Amino acid sequence: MSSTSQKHKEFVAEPMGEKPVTALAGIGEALGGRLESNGFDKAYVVLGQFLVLKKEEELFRDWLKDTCGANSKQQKDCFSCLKEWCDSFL
Amino acid sequence: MSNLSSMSDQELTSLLDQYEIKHGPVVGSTRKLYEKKLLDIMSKEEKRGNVKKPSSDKTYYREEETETFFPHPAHHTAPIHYEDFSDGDNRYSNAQTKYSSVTSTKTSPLSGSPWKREEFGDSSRQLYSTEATCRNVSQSNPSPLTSSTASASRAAPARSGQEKAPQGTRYIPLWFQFLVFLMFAGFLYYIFTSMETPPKKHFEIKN
Repeated sequence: MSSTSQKHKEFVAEPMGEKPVTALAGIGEALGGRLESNGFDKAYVVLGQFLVLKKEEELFRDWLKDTCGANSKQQKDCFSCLKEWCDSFL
Repeated sequence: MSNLSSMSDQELTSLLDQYEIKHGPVVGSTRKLYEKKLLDIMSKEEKRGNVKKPSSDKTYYREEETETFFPHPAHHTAPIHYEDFSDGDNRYSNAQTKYSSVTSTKTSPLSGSPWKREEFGDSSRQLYSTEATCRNVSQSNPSPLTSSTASASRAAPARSGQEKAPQGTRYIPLWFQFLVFLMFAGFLYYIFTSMETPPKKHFEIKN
């Protein structure tokens, strides 16, 4: 089993553009729905939040947990996905 | 302080800095997160404040080896600093060999105020090696010194107690502890020099 999922690989391979929030690794339908209801309807909005939190892992994971109830694995997947994307494109 | 949601973004930012929490800007989407973090930290600080003091006292007294005495409530902060200026004390240990060893042997047979023992304690810690050489001379001379030094030492806690209250933090400045110790050591020196003959008499009696 690879350490990063297919979703992760696809996301970090190219600029995110207008991709929906469910394109993020770790964010499925349920979590995506909750994020959208909080106003985070696109992946780049979540990126914005990630950047405002200064790309700090602990802060971002806490925020994700509070906002959509992500569990530890989902938090970790989303964080590493965004971090790697930033490393390549930011 | 209790109502974080009524505070402005600036105030929250300064609070976050105060608690040394890593944070980004406090904006609409991050505010709730930071309020939550501050609440957690503040409740933890309260718990930590109650727990820390006794344990630090225990550490101090365990190193003492002379006697275990109850920690005086006003003196919780004092033991921490005795450990700090043990480095400074070494410089004085040679100069004060004779009369300091007098005070260090004094602690065991006598029951006095706990503050006095704390004062003696740190000097005794430094001078255990020199204590043996002077023990015969000094052992017979505890009582006259005790009463005079007890009064001096009682003056010290009143002063330091007052100093501790307004500070708010747990630590007394090092320079202050040092000053108190110097004054106390000077007082002991004065007492000892003024009473030089009696030790000789006792020495004769013993032999």
